[in-house]
Amino acid sequence: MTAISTTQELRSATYPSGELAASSADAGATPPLPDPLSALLLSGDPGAELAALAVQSGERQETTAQTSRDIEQKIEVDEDGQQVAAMEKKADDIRSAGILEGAGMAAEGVASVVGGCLDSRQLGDAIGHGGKAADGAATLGAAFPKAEAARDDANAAAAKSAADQARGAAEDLHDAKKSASDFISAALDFYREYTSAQASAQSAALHRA
Amino acid sequence: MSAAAVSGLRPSQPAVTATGTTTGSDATLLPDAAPLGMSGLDDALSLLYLSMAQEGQHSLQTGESRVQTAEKQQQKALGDEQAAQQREQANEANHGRGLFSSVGHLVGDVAGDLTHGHVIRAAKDAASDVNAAVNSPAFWNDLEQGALVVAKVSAVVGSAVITTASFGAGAGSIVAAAFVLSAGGEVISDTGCLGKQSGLIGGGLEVAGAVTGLAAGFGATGLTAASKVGLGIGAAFTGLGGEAETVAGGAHVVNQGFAANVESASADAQRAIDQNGELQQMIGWVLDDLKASDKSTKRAEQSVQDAIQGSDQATAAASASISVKG
Repeated sequence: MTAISTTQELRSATYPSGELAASSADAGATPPLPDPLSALLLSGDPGAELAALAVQSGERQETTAQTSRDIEQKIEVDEDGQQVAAMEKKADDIRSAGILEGAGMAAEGVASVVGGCLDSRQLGDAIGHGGKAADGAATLGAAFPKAEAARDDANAAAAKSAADQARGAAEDLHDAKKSASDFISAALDFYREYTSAQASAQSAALHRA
Repeated sequence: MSAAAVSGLRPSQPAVTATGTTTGSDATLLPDAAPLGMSGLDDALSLLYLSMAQEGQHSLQTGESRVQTAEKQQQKALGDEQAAQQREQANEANHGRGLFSSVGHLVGDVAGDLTHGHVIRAAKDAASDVNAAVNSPAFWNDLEQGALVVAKVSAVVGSAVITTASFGAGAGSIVAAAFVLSAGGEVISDTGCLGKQSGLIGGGLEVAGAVTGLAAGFGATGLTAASKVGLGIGAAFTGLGGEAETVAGGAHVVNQGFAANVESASADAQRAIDQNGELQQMIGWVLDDLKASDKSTKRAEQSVQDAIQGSDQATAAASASISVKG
């Protein structure tokens, strides 16, 4: 028996033709030959069964780690996007607050000029006070986008923190995937040595006979 | 077929194309690899080996292609980041020529051109300088600050003059004192020249000025002709203050627009940084996967080579056994 490196190679060994191997991967296609891992699991040989179990387990770990890694990466990308969106919203809020405040100041200034031009002192004062009231109202109105801008800062910081966490988790899962891959390699090395020892023993027995 | 013969098809050797023929200018000692299933490679293990070699080569090319694409995207992201950072700096409040520098530059350019009789060039320079000033955050920042100072001072002076004129000449000295107190308080508050206590001291002086102004009211006498002139001057100052405040309001809108642009550019830079990081991570993962895949392929190839060698040895042993028996 040829020593086999990974489950993909195991399948390649079972399906020598590239076309067959490719077709077995197709969704819904039933391979004409039994699954090599299942065959090894049911071989009755304890070494082969152990190796097959280890490979199966490693494969599962690898798949789970990769799936989780991809999810964490997606979370990271989403959170990065949210951070940028919060920063862009802050820019809009700054602009809105600036327009309100500027309009209030301009209104007060215009009222002051108009009030000063009038002959009637009372009317002039009234217009001047109206301008001040407009400025106050604008300042009050600008407080809302300013508060939103502060909230945007907090949202951006939270999104950045979440993105960093997801990035760290993705890196950890990538390491886990590599560990699973190493575990499969170790199992296959074990199986290679096992079959080699078996072959040597059989050869020695044949020579003695 | 021996393993040595098959090793001529390893990925390190001339690449095997999809049709099974070798590429490259170096002529090999081995015959061209025939398509799978042809008589040249009819051994099942050799076919398997060739298939693995092709798959390994294909994986390597796919990985290389992904890395190259990611590197191109990284370069683009880096360019975007630099552009965003430049935009951020260009919109900073202290970037560009300030108010006095802009005016000085404009006057200098125009005067210089006119001195040499270059009227058209003077007009062009003036337009260019005005455009530079309009796009300069420092210009608008200075304009807002300056206009606010003018507005406050004008408002205080106008108010004091009107009060003096209204209350009569007798209260003039008291009103002057009130004005000095109010204006001093305003300046101390705005400049913070007395440290942390500036706000408190400035506020106290302003209150004192207001109280003094009120006291002047009690000493007011009837309106005179001088008082009427004073009222006009006061109104002019108030009007100037209003105009300055209007200008400050407009400048404030522009300044906050620049501040928003800074934030927006910062967001763009952050987006490019994130994209760069994600691509870097992706490249690392692809390289790791390529290494694992290469290791796996080599291991599989070694296994098949071992099997081929074993098969050859068994065949040789069988032949030897037959010849010995024969």
